[in-house]
Amino acid sequence: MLVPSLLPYIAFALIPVGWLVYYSFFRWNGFTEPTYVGLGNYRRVARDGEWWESVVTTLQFTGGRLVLEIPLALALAYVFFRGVRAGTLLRTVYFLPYVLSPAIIGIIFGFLFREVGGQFNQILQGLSLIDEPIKFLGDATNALLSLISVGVWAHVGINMLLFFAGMITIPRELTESAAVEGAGEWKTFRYVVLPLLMPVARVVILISIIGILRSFDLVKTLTDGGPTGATDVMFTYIYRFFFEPETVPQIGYAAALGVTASVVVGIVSVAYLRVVRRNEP
Amino acid sequence: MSAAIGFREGERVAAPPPAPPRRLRRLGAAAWLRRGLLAVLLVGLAAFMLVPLVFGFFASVSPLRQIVSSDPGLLPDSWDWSNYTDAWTRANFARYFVNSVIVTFIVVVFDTLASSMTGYVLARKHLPGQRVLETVFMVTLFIGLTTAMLYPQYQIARSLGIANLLGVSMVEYAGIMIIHVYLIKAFVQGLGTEVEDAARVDGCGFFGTYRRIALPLMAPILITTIVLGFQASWNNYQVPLVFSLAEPDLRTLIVGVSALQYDAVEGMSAYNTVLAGASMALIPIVVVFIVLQRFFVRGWTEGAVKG
Repeated sequence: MLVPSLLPYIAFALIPVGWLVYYSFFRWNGFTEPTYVGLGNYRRVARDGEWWESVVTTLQFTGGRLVLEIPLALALAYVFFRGVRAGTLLRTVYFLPYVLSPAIIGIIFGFLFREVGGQFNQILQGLSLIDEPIKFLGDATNALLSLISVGVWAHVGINMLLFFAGMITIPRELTESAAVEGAGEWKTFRYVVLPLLMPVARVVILISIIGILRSFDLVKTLTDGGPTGATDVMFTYIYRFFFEPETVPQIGYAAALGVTASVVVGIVSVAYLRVVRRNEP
Repeated sequence: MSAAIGFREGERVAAPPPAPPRRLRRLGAAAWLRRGLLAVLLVGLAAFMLVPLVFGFFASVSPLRQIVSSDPGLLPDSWDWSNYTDAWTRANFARYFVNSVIVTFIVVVFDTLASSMTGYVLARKHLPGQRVLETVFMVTLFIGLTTAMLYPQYQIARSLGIANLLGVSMVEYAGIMIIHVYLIKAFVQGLGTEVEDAARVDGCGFFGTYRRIALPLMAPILITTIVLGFQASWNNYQVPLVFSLAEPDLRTLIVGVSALQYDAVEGMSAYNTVLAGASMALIPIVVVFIVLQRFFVRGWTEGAVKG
């Protein structure tokens, strides 16, 4: 009874991991015979300035997303936890972007962000907030900020929902007695709700971090790493060496990059867990 | 205390009762102001979430010359559904749509059967090596080479002779199965074993007990995994992208739209068709989401809390 799920698992989840690690020690274009190069690919990874730039971009993207997404999601979850009219409807609307394909979201926003005739520029110019159209995607900093904004737009709903699900397990008596003792909303949130939510919040933030570090779809369709590689994240950078090479595919080198990316994700996750553990009471 | 009741209390404080103490009335006004501000913020945010989608949709029914002009305005000049028929016929979207349906169907059906069996076995049997298997599951989940694995996945599918829609489905399944198996396992562990024991006594084998007794009992969690599987597969971009690089006929809707977008950026095709295609890719999932939203919500919250 295990066979139906173990076969695809072994073929498409387990073997590819070993495959990548193995070929990361070879130079190979995917067609001719692979040549063993030892740690050569990894030495090249260490020296590859563009790669480390994409790692930095990935970290900036992750940091920017978290800084905006997590507080906003927490605030919304708390508002719904305290109760508002039409709460269910509002939660549905906020969550909706999350169920849509990130690749399609990237395409639609790419259209709305256009410099000439783009809807956002039209609105901003119509309101006389800007004189010249903004190059949302044509400038390195703006492109990263645009990516972050769209990422927040798409993901704030899921984080809100998860925080909300954590909050409704908090016994009502606790928040009510806080109210009786004269605690305002902020104090109730800060000293009653937030400490009790921390176990859930830690997991939610960890899942977010890992997910953002592995971003591909949205970046690929919204900026495709542009302008000129400025918004390349780890996995869009790796993808090129496999499937969109300038000359021939460099499978061995791409595999080494993939392994390195996995290590980067691991290091960031462990560092995050260290930090939250240390701050535990 | 429910939201509606809380709100009405606020109203009562604000409505001036006979000779109210000054302080109370001022508090009431402040509370009203706060409530009003909050309502504006919440509704504004809701608009912020919906407006990009609405603009995208408007553009998808606008005539091409409007979209490409430098001052197109926000509303369609005229409602032009020909973008959709063009995408459907000329841009081969009929084919892509069918491909999306096939892949999603295979993933969901296969996932429901295979993952429920595996989850059931892991919950009920104590196999030798089960610990090791579950650890390996967890390790592959956290290693997550994701995009980097596409190349070997495609090569392996080719050598197995399934570099086709079945291969796409199996690769997608391999990506989602671990979480689904864990969700099902946790759910089965929460069920009592009495009914299954009774069936066993009556001569039902292990598989028979699974099929006749346990599977129907698993319905709530299976609805969750079906919804999650549908979303993951319908929206998947990377797997069909790589499988269709050499064979455009394997494109799903999502990949078809993105391929058309690359052409549009280079001036080889029209943006209105791209957006019509994008709407076609979004509408099914939006409809499913609206109809089954409580299962989406439950699926995601359970997935994170237990996972």
